[in-house]
Amino acid sequence: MVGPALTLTRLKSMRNRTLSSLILLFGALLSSEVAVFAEEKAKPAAEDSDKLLAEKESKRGPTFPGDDPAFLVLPRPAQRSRQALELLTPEVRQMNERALVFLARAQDADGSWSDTQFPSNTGVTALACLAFMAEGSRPRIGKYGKSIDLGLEFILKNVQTSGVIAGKGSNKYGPMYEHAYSMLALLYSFGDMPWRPQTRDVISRGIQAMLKSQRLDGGWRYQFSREGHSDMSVTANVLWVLRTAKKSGFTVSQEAIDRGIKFVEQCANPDGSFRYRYFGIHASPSLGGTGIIALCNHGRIDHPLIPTARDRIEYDYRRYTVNDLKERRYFVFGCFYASLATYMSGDAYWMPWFKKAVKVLATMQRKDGEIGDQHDNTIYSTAMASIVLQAPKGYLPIYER
Amino acid sequence: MNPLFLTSEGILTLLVIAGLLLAIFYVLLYGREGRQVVRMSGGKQWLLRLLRIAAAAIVLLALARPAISKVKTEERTPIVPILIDESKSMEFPDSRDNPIVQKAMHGKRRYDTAQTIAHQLQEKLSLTHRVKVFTFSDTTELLKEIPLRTGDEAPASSRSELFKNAADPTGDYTHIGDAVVDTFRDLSEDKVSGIVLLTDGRQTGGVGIQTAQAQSKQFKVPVHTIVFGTEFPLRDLRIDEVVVEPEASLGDVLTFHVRITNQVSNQLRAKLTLFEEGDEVASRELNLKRGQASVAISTIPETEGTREFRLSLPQFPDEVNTENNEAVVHVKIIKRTLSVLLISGEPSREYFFMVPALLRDPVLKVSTFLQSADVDYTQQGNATIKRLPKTLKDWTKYDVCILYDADPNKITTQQMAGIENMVRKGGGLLVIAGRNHGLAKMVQVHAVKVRELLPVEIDKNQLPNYYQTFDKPFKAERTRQGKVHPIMMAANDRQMNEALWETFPEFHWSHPVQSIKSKAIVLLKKSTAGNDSGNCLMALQRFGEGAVFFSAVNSLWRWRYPYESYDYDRFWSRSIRYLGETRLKGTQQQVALSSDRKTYAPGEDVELRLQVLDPALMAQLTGQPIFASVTSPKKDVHMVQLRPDPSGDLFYEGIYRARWLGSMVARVRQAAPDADTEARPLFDVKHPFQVKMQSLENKDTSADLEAMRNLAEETGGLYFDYRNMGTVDSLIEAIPSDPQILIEQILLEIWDGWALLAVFLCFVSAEWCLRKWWGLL
Repeated sequence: MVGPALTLTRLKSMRNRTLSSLILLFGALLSSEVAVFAEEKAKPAAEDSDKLLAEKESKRGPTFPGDDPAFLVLPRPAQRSRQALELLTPEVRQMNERALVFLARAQDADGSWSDTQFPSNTGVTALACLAFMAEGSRPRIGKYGKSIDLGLEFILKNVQTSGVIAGKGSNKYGPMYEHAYSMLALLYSFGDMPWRPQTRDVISRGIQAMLKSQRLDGGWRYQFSREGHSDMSVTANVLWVLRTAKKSGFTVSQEAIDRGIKFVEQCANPDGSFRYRYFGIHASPSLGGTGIIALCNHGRIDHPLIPTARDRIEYDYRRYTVNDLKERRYFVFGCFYASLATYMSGDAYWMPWFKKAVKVLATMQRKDGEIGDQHDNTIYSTAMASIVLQAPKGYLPIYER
Repeated sequence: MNPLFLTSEGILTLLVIAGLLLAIFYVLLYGREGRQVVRMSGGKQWLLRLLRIAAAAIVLLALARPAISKVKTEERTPIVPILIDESKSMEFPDSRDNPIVQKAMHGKRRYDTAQTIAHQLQEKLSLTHRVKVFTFSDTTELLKEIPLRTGDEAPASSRSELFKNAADPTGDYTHIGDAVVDTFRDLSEDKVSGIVLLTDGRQTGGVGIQTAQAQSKQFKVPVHTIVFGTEFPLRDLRIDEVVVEPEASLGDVLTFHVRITNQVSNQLRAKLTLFEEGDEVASRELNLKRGQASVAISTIPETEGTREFRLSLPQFPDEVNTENNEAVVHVKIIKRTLSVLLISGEPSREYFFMVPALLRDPVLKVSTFLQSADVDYTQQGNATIKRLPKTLKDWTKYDVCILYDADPNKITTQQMAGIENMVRKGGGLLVIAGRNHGLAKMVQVHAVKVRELLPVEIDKNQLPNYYQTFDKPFKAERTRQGKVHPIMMAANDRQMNEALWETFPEFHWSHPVQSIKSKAIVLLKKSTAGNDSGNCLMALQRFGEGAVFFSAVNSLWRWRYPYESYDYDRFWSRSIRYLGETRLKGTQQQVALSSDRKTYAPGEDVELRLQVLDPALMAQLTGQPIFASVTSPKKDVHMVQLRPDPSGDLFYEGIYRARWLGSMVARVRQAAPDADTEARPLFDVKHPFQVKMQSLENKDTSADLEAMRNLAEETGGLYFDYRNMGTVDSLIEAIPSDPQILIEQILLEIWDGWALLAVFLCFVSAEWCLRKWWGLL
């Protein structure tokens, strides 16, 4: 890992943050190429060809093909990454297995999942479904195929006439989180669920509901309303949904996305942290990941805010002890978004972060496999933790490189 | 001196009997005459009888050819013939490890070493032996006869004097057996103390070495062999062959397959460097074992046009030829991309991962068409489209089409005809079955075209069962053909490929398959017992000039574990490139034409082999006659039929007997089985080879140490090669110097001498005179 280390040292003295972000992002890829050169003698021709192409592609950098690019295309890795083999240790596998078993057992008869604060909640149900999808299951296919199918059925039963997907146990502040997570679960599964042809219409109406509730400051908040101020966390989630919808064949107004991004930029502090609301002072550590996700989802992988935000996360997990992190409010929630941000930053960031996160999650996991939060919610946090633990597999398209 | 008769005993007996009869006759005759002549006394009568008997006895004695024998003894100096190979192979440099070469003053050729040793040996041997120095190639010539020197003061022949008439090796052949046999014949009267043979041991004709060996054993003459060269060919590092496509795509990987021969050392580290128009573009460190090796070196050409590529190996000291350390090839670089159209019914999980995988490949120009997308949706890809192509002409713009769980009702008959036409003209079709629409509906809606195109039969009545949950995993395994198919080669190295396929994931769902088409091949199947065609997971068939690939599974994204997207991305790249190869490279590249050698002599058999790298192509060619045309420099063409390997391996073979001299080109150009006359060939491959008069001397430049060692050991001689040639002087002591004792028996015949005649005349005259005297006449 000489490559990224050197690159990182150099970058600290560089003022041009925009350029540095690009270089840093591909530091991990370049580092793997260093290893490739060392092994070259033993490799046959096909491997050499692939390496050559990968080198060329990495020089070209990320591309944004298409007239309305939903897909940000990063270069192919120059060699087979061993991060999954290294990170998915037997302990991690066991942790995840226990979490999934817990989730499967916790499913209600109507297909939903209920948390202490959020009974029969579509958002919680969606996250549980996503956790099973990260395992490799699809609706009616795979080990947890039935659970996903029932969960999605519950979500679809809770679609309101306005297009909002929210059940009775929604957040008391408003159903946007539930809606966003439900939308994500449906977007990633409706292509594999032909027996529910209405899903496409549900998603379409859900997108319209989101777009209609974009606030004047460009962001979104709990309530489906255009009035009031937005918050960074909800906005990032909505932007994430909108980009995923774009990839899935839905027309999404680019203007709405641009305004949302502008709001996220306004929430950013110069030190790489993000304020919960753009006029606020408090910068929550858990928001770093959401900020990066929001910016990257817009295809702004070279956004100047990304390196500082990522460095902030990297510092955070390096600096604080397992106990410090564990005691944080909404640690699993922040961990989930941080995982998305560090994964796309390359192995140099992802691997040490993941190892530390696993240590924290391991101390949080209880004997039945659940992972709770300060409010004794166990489903959403277990689902999010499970998604993080399964990220090295790369089965859920939310983890992109 | 011993008297003896030379006539046989039979005649001698007759002569004795004749003598007795004559004696009796004379006694009786003179008895009768004596009675007629009264006055003759008995004594006179007996005298006359005796005289006549004596005369007759002399005649009979003469008829018995009396002779006397005489034994003569002579001492002669023994002889040592030194036979020096003067064939052209002795012109080659001798081994660097030979101690005599290391101290050489007169050059390092094998012949120079031979001269040094011959000179050195004759100097010492001539003190005790007569020495005859012969040179041999196809004939044996006496170079110099060196008499016995009486002492050190007598001058020995100088080297220049000795080799005055044979300074350089010029012979076209090496007839070792002839040389030994001829020497025995020439020296049949001499005592040969031993034969000293200086050669590289590589016999190229004449009497076999075995015959020479047998004669030597018969005459009890040891043959001492001194061999030049080594068991290895001459020191040389060379590029034998560079195989590269004549045309390559700009910005894509261009791979040069280089055949290198290392005759320098057992383990040689060398750097292969690739230059493009004089600039180094790639290099590779090689660790070469002695012999031939195939290596590949790649670059990505960034400039269009015909480019000169030079491959270079370093030069090593004492290489016999340094010109062959480089090879120059010209490749036409053309800007080409593969236009791929992905038509997907719904955005399933595979779709999410497949689109970026395709977009990452720089050679692909990807258009996607998501059928379920909003009407005003901006379709993705780096060549976006608003609607599907309609006319046949529109479809020809695409090289590969992917139908991923497509809704057949959203594809018109005309569009399906366009797809079929595109494939027939060299394009590719990738059909991935999905659970949304299944293929049964596709078969129902576009029955004729789809059934024709698909490599498998689908039951049109078996619609997807949405209500079934598939939670039982099954493993997939490659078939025998799948294991060697380029699409399934995750790595070139066989072991590594096997290991990578072990990481291939388990699946839960696959589209049902009724049966496999006769000319299709199955690449992947469910890992269950039996060969039920319903187990097929991936199949391939050549169709017209193109190909159709079918996948019954749509969760290859599971292969993103354990090596992330590396193998997943490249699987699609390989599939698309295979399907679009005809378009990308102008012709099918799944065949390779080769010959067993590069150079042949007239009359030799040239084994032409067409290797089919794609089992699907082999299946398509089944029953088709395949001919190779061999064209001479004068444009004479000879057709050779290539026949499929009877054991079922993927190649065709045929024999061409070399008849014309010069650079020959073998070519196989094959049309698709059902193609019209204007259709492009399925493949068109060429292979050059040379037919020329060849000197056998250059054919194998290694020394035949084994044969020479055997010859020496079998005849009781000593053997020397580059490893022990420093001790060659020990040979002098091993050659005995005992003189040759010659014993000669001389026979002197006396029957026809004057003495016997005089005695005979005396007896006859005396008898006649007495008879006259005594009045008997």
